[in-house]
Amino acid sequence: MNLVQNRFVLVIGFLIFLIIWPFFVPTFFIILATEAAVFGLFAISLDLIMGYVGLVSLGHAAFFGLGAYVSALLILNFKSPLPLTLIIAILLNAAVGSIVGFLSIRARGIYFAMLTLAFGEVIYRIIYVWKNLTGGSDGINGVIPPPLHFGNLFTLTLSGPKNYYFFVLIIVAFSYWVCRRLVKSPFGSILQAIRENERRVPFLGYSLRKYKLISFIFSSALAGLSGALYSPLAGFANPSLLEFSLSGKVVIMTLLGGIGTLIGPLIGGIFLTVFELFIGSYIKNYLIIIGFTFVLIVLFLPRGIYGFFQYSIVGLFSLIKKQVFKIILWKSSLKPEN
Amino acid sequence: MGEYVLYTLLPQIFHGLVLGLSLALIATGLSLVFGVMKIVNFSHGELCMLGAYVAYSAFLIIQNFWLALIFSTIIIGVIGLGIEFLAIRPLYGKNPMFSLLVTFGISMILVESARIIWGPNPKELTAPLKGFINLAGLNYPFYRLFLLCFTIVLITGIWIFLNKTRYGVIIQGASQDREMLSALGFNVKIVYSLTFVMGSALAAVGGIILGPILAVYTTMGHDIILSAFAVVIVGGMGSFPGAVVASIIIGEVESVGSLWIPPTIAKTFTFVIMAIILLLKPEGLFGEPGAE
Repeated sequence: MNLVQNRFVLVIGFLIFLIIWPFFVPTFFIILATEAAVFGLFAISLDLIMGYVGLVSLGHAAFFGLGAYVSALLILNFKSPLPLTLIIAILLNAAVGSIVGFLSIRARGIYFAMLTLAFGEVIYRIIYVWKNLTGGSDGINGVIPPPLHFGNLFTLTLSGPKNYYFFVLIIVAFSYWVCRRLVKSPFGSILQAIRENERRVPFLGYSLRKYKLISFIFSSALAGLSGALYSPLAGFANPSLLEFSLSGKVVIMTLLGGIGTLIGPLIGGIFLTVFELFIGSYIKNYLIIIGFTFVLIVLFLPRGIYGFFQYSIVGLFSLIKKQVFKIILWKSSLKPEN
Repeated sequence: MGEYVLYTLLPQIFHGLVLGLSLALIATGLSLVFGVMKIVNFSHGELCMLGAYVAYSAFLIIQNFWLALIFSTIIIGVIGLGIEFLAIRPLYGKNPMFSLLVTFGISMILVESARIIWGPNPKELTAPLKGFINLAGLNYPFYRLFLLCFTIVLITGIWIFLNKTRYGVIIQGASQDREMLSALGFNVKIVYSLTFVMGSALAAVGGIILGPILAVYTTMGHDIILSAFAVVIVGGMGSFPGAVVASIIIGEVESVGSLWIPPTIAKTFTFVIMAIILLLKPEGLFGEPGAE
């Protein structure tokens, strides 16, 4: 009970911090934080299939980029309000995700990874070649978040970095909550069961394909949402958002933070975005550092930063507990039996 | 019509064959490493890229393509040994996903290293054989024709090595039953290391001979690995004849397809073929059923 209360206080405190801090820092940090949150959400979307179902997708940037293009096109061409834009991006991505997912989930493990890589490349090439709609390699520029209208009551402009930060914060927090509910639900348990033992799940009466497909669609829709949030922030959508390098980067974010948790990828996404910006401004070829870090993480910390802390702290506690227990046992064994 | 076939279609078919056989060389390395070690080497394409770059630098110094090829192949073999020893060895017996991820990290390191050493601009590797050869009225580049023979000889050589020599049989033994091989007194770890070195060397040779046809650029590894993945999926993971047949199919599709549609789109057909094969025959054309 105490632990639950502590946690509640912690979460509330953290949320208050997230709301207050933008008022005390330069704009640059607010934009950075917004970007970090968007990539954190993107990493969460990948983790839903990578960490919970055990399907590593190497083409996830395609969904991110697709979402970015959808929101850029809708905002520029139709002046569509942001909530509607996000919903359309989610639906379109779910549709594309269901096609890609339907084909990809037939394969397992590394084959799944290669198939998603190939489909990601196909989507990338289609966007790249479809010049009339997407502007080819130049992409679409000049995307500004449109104001939010609350009926005729009042209008909230989102073009300022602070306002957009709050908007993104709300969306990311809400998505996080939804994912958390999903993961803790019976549905989430089945996903984790698939990860742990794919052969046994069908014997329990659950369809592997159905659950894999639903989680893939959900994941691609969420990736699309993060992409749709990204283009109004960055002001553009171009093919680099669908490139393989971004797919690789999001895999790194997820593993860096810790797969199989929701908070882990969020941390990883934020960490890598901030790291890239600061290291990138000092060292030109910072990707080599990221590459080395990634290799070391896979080799030595397969549970990522969050997993490491979780494990080491919990491990430390249990170690202490065990020692204390041993001492008690030892002392009690000293007592003469009657 | 006859002219169209002779001057437009036929060269493209030849191009496809050359591309496909070079790809087969690369894919054979990938497939060999997977078949024996159950490891998908994501950095395989980057080893091709690095091979081409090292050959480029070596060529600038020694001014002999063939010596540069041999030198570069040896260097890449040594790099492969280093990768195997440092990064892959700790992952034996674990989920193949981990080795895929580790080699993905390595591929990132290799791309960036190449960018640091050779800069972002593409380099040109000059073909050792110039001029054209007349094939019944069709002028065809001599170097490409040479490549055709060279790759066929090399692939046949590898096949003979794997099937007819003692060492080849040991490697095949490692792919089928490593515990039995170990019980027979062979050091499986050394077999694995040598297999990986061989795979890397094949990647290097593939990268070098493709260098004069494509350009040498830092991200060429990514383009190559996509085709190579398609080849091993279509042909069947770990299958030698599968890799050769699938390479030729994919080389032809990319090459002949680009007659009518832009090459970037022609490449997507490769992936479409791959998806169809995976749906109809998940183990690939020549793969053993039930293999993962």
